[in-house]
Amino acid sequence: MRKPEFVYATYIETTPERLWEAAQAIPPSAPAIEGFNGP
Amino acid sequence: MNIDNFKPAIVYTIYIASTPENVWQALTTAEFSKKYFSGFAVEAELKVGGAFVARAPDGSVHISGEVIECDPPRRLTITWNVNWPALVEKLGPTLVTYEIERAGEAVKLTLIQAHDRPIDDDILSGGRQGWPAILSSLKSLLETREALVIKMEPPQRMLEALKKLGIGTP
Repeated sequence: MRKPEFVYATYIETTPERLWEAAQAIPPSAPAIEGFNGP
Repeated sequence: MNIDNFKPAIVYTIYIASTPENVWQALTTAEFSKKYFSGFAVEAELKVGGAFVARAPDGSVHISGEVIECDPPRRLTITWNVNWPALVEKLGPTLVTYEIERAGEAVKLTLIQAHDRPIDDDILSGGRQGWPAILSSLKSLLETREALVIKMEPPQRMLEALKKLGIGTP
């Protein structure tokens, strides 16, 4: 693997299972982020 | 001190559903910091040249520094020197800048940790572990009124690197 150039961490009050579920289906209450579709 | 000599070693950005004024208050007052920053009480004299201190719960000074830039509620730069024996003598001062910007209905908070000399990755691992926890907890506090409960120890690689340099740790 190449040496990482960018690493981002955040801490969330949840469980790994709930975070995994959220990644599969973004809830309707998620913040609206407009105009960004990823790199 | 010429801050132009300092280069960013850690940059961390987080978005918070809050106002710049509330983020500023959270960063600069003990009332907030004690909740999201492991019980540390921030005392900041908010003017250039003013004192900046973070006290441990037992009242001892853990971090001491000086206000270098102060533009409320947009930008605060301070020297951030951990009070461990010989740390500043061996590593030089640490500069911390908080940048606060509106981002739609949220606030973009950017933390920049900068040094005036190259710092070993093992030593930087402390900040790379600590800042996301501190600022995530600040975000939770401002958004939900409850800080996060995060239990962590300093990275072993950091402690070993400091020891090799003759820097004392608690």
